[in-house]
Amino acid sequence: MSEHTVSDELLMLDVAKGNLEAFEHIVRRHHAWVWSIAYRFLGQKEDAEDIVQKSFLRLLDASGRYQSTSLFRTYFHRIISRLCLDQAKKKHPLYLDTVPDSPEPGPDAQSEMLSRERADSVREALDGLPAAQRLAMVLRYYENLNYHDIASALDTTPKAVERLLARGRERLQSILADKK
Amino acid sequence: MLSCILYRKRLGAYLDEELPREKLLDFESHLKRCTSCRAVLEDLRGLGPILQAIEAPNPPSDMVSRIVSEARNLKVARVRQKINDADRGSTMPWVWAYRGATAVVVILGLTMGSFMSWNTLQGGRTLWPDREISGEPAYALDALGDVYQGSLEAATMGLLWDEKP
Repeated sequence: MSEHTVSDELLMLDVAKGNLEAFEHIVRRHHAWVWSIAYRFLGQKEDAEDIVQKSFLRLLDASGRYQSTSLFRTYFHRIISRLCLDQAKKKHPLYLDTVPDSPEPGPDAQSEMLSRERADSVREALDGLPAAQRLAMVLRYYENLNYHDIASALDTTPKAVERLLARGRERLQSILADKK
Repeated sequence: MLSCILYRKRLGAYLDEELPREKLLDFESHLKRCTSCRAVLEDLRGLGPILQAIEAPNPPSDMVSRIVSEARNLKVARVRQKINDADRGSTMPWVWAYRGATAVVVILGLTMGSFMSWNTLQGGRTLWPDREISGEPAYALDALGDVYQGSLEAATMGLLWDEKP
């Protein structure tokens, strides 16, 4: 059976039995979006790599306790979220000032520079949010999770997620308005 | 307006399509009437494209292999640990048996020594049945005799040489 046909839930049962091939299938299938969450939340490659590795190893560790009745992604989101929030507690996220490279001469150079400056501003604004608000925003805007799934990942209620997002949006708009 | 404050609190949920169905009709009815709430909603809607400006670079190309390699190392380490724990566990019953046997021998030795000391305190008279009364030599105890030999060694030698009066 190819790796593409077996569900994550079934693969996890094999992982629980110590099957590292099944674990490798899981890693290959999911590492990209885990990386995306970690990078967007933390803003630094090294920290993001660390979180991605820890997330998969934690998943491996917890495989014996995983019950196939719960969706794999929901289960994994919870692991990743906890690690992200723990990491945020350890170090306040640093925003590294990036000096835009001198643009290559060309018609799109100016728009590229503007685009990068904008990205830097948004990055800085996102880093200015408290960890829980930032993670809720990342899961909503980049992972398209609904309130119920975000609540599951953050171990809270959908109502609390609504409040986190409301405050996160308000704060983000305020920071971006100050930068203009 | 107070009602606008209440509606604006839930604009995000409306945008995310998370409002309960029973509240949706009332909400949309308010939005149709209120230009300022519509403006706030449009500002919120504009956040989506702004946040998409943050692109995540591609993950490192060797990330998968590093994670799997680390998992293999962990698995080997855990198997080794289990073997070590099993070895330690298999010697435990024997250790306790050895300790128990040693304790028994020590207690017996002390007990015999105590009897021999008491015998001396009684003026050398043994507590054993007297040979004349029993009619037969109490063989092993005979070696201890009327005179306190003073050691288990002497008693044992007496037994070995089969000394009789």
